[in-house]
Amino acid sequence: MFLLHRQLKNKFLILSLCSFIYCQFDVDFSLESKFAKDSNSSFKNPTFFENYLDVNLYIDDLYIFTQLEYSYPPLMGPNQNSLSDAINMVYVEFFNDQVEFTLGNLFSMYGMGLSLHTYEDQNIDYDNSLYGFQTIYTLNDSYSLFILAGKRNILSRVSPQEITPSISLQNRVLSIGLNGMKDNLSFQYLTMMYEQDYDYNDILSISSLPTMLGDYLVENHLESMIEYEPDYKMKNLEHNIGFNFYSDFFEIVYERALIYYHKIYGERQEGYREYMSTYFNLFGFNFILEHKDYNTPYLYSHFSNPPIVSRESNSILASRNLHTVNFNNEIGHQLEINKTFESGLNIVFNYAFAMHYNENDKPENFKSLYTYLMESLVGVSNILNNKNNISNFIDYKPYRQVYLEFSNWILQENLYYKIGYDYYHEYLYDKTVLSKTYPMQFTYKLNAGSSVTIYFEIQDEVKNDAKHRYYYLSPSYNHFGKWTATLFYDIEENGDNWLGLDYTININDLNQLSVFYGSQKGGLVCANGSCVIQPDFEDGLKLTYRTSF
Amino acid sequence: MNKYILIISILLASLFADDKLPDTFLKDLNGKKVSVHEYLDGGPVLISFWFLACEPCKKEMKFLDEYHQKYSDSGFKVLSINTDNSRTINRVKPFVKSKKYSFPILNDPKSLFFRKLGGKVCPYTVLVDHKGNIVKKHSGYNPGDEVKLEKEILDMISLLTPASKDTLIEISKDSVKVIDNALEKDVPSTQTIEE
Repeated sequence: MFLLHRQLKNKFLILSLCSFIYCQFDVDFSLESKFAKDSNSSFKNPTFFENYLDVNLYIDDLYIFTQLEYSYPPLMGPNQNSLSDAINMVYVEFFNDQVEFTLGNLFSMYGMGLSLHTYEDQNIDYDNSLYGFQTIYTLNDSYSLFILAGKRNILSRVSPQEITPSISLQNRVLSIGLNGMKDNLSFQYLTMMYEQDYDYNDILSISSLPTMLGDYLVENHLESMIEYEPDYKMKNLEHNIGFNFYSDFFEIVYERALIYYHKIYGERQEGYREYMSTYFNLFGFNFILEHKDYNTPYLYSHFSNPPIVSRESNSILASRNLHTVNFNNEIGHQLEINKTFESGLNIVFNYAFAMHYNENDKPENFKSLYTYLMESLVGVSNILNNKNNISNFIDYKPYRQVYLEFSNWILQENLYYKIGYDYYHEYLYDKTVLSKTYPMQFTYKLNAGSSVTIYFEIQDEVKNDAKHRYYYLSPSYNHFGKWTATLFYDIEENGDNWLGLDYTININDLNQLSVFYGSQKGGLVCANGSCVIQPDFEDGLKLTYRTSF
Repeated sequence: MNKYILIISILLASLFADDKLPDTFLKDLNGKKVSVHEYLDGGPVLISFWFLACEPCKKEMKFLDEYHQKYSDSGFKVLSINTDNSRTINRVKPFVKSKKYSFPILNDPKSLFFRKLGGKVCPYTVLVDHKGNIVKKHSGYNPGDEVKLEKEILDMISLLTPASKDTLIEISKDSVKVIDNALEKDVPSTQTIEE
């Protein structure tokens, strides 16, 4: 028996060997390694040491993606230094003209993500992908069906400062949808059923959140929770419907989700999420108006990642006051006007405003389209007149941001400039922040293939009546695409200074090595031709190596 | 022991493998589903991944648009792939329209195709020759890098039509033209070819 088993096993291996060689086969790898040692650590016990190896394997019509991780210690999250933890994600994909089938980690996005959007973000150590299968079946040129079934214990944090996640919810999901498309109109319907298992410790962590859900748990259940330590299970249902119509100069997108869920330890609730976007072109100016209304304040949702309806700043200092969108409780809108002139001059104007529902009320007349437009115009004029009308909405924790930018290539396209102005004002649970930022960027192309880029930014910030002024200076030299040297100088007037130097060498087209020495304030960092979010780093050395083969 | 045989077989097989561009279905800005391989017909392709908040990506796109127009006669094209997800995807179309880019743009909101091609950071550029083989990959963009990129595009175009007696590749500062059956068309053989 044992001999037979062994013979079968050997035959299988020989078969595998032959199939790998004779089938259409392709494999490629990409590796990213990060090592950092600050003043409190050593080479043996570094601040973090992370390695990610992506393996893309193609066997005939099958595609298999695997991500392996060795992190000891990682920047965020628990250590991943054993073989059992090595596989971070894996999925198998098969598709042809009619069917797309995926098995494994599911990364899904349906419509505008009001109900279902799963993704992975290494920067914040978050992954809400489900383990299961999904299929998209194309019925004909106009219609396709979608089905997904999966489950996952999804980890999340109460605060981004937590090293390891404090909330761990078991989710089981079944979702079915239909997509249609006819000429310039497309539409979709999705239904999604999911179960969530909360254990006592999860609920205790959620109760510390500065949200309506957190307040509700503290006010109504904290004492009994501590005494009885009860778990909770809820079944939720979502119906999502949306459409999109476009022409050459006009487009409208609308999506609404109806959500039936439970308050933890409480009664059944009915909530909704709504999103609308209108784009049109008028006299060569491109306008986009967006409106959001996310109203499920007692739900702790993992799968809803809808449009933020606010600007993702690409200024270093402005991005440090990033508005954190509450996808379960937020109402707001955004207006953006964009125009590129014949000379190449590009102007961007952006205005975003948002508030949150509170326990008993919501802002009157806020939802009407008229108010939506007028609020935008009044908001802009108030800011120009230096008035502050959002203080009328303090109970709703308002947020407002205005951004204006000019950019162009001049001097026979040798000099690029970008000059902006960013106004940000937000009332948060524990603080009020008002800041004005002046981001500037200049690039000068030297001879064939080398260039100098300078980021210079100034920010005036008032945080709970305390005034701060920040400066950011970052000159960078690119030597014919072979290497880049960047200096980072971050200054707080009468406060801390952060100084760092980065040197990146492109060893060849497939290998890149970066060395950073010094200190760096966390947030958006632009160097070596790309911008990434980095954590605070004090007085040390960081190495990053990227390769693909 | 058996594990090692399997690993060795994979490594051996990878020696025989070509670095072909994998296919996938993505949606264009109007939501229409298209196969990436549809863009491989006729000539080399430069695939560029970007997202709205990526400042270096937007700087690079200006030059990619220039190359797309300049070398389109030779069959070369740029395929731009946006990786904004549901949070910001609706602002992509207005941005593209305001810039009047001439190249086709597809959406990869889950970044699955980006991952398939080994992307880690944007902008990420992949050069694919006319046979569908991946020739080069670049991460990041610094002003000036477009000079090297243009040379690589020209290299791919020159491979497109093997030099034969009756084929003329005319490369000037502003354009590249491939003239088939040049002898039949009576193109003077002393025509200047400048780089």
